[in-house]
Amino acid sequence: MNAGDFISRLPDAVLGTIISLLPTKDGGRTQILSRRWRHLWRSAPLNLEVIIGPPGPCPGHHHPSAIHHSTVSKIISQHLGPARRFCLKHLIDGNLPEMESWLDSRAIVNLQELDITNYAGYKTGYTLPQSVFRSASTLLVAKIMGCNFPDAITRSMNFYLLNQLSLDCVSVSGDVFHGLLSGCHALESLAMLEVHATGCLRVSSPTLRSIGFRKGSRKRAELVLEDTPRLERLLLPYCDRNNFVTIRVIWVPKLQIFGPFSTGACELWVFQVAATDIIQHSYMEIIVFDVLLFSSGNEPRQLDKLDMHCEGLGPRVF
Amino acid sequence: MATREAGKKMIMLKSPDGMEFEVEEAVAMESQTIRKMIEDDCADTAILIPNINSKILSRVIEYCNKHVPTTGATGAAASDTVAPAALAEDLKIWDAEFIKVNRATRFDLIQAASYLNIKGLLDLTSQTTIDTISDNSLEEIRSFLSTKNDYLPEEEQTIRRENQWAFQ
Repeated sequence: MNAGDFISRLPDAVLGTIISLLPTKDGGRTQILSRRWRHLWRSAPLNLEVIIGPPGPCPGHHHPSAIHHSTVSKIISQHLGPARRFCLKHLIDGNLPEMESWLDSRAIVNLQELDITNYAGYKTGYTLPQSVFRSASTLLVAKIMGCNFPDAITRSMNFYLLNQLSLDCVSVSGDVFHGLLSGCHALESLAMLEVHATGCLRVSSPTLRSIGFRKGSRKRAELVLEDTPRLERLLLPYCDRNNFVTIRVIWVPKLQIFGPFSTGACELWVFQVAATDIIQHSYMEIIVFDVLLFSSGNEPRQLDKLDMHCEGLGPRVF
Repeated sequence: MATREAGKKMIMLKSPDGMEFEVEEAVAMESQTIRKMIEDDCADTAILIPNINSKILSRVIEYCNKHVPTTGATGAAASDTVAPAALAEDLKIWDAEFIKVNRATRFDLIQAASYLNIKGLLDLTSQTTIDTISDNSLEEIRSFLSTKNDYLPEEEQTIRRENQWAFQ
């Protein structure tokens, strides 16, 4: 028996799984392997990676597996749905009107992964389309970069399975952010890199285990960990850029890793503002700011001194 | 149901070629298919696993033994002192060794993982196929899969025309 006999014995569902994990063009190409493969692609969960940009090769953005936006309508008219992953690389200014209709099609339902990148950045006024979260209830992973969050987008939306959320160069109001997190019922990992917020970023989550935070603009930023009973890691990459960041910690009993802090570029002050007799209102305030901006070159290190202060992050100290 | 020692329920898995494997229930329940049988009380004394011969079944059990969460299984004491990251790294190395098998065995393992519904094993065994399809020409893929091109030339042309986006 040769290997061909083995693979032909595999059920369609398994071959479908394999197809859905392939890059977009490779998945489409499997139709030409043989008659057996002809109809598999149409019903295998779609992995759609799209470039929105001028036709032809995109200088500086190498995405060989992605397809150009002008062919999306063709693909979603051929495919029966559902989709596993929708990834969008946006290279031109402004919103593309067709996008709403793609996201409303039968092919793009039950998404597990959403990955939207607007390379032009949120300042171009690119606003995330409302229908982007049509698959909210099935999403496992979401990554949004360079977009504005519309104020209405997350009202009463439930992300039952979303485990990882990454917001990079995103502009969002404090209220929308809080609403978004309240709708997440399984979130364990949250990355906020250069999030531009109006108002402070309040985090309450019974499931979160890891937060990465780096602020964006020159304005002050404030992160408030209101109720994060399972949080283990609070990571602050590129701490030297975190001028004028205030992190208020109200309830993080499981915190183990905090940092790293580069000694050459910033200094961390930790102090406890809480009155010992008012437990429910106790918090620690951590202010990160540049004081030694010109003496760079020191090795980054985990701040030993902070560990000492961090002992206070458990409820027993209060 | 057989019980080898207190607290560890054992279960008998039978392959169609007559071999019997006694495994801990927790190990067998790495398979969602077997888990369902046990939970539905369909697993009285022994479970017959159709379509999976003893050679493949023993490899599958080996995989499940390694991947069962360590609490209650072998090595529970050791795992307390090992950091989760180190454990995951160790598993990755073990997986890489485990999957060094010939093509026929790998396709058998894919089929077994699919029938027994063991997601980790299915992902692991499918990965080589995925890599081959994304990195090679159509002829190389056909040769790897031993798939014969059974299209008429004009049919092939039609598919290429209809799916031009995939061939650009």
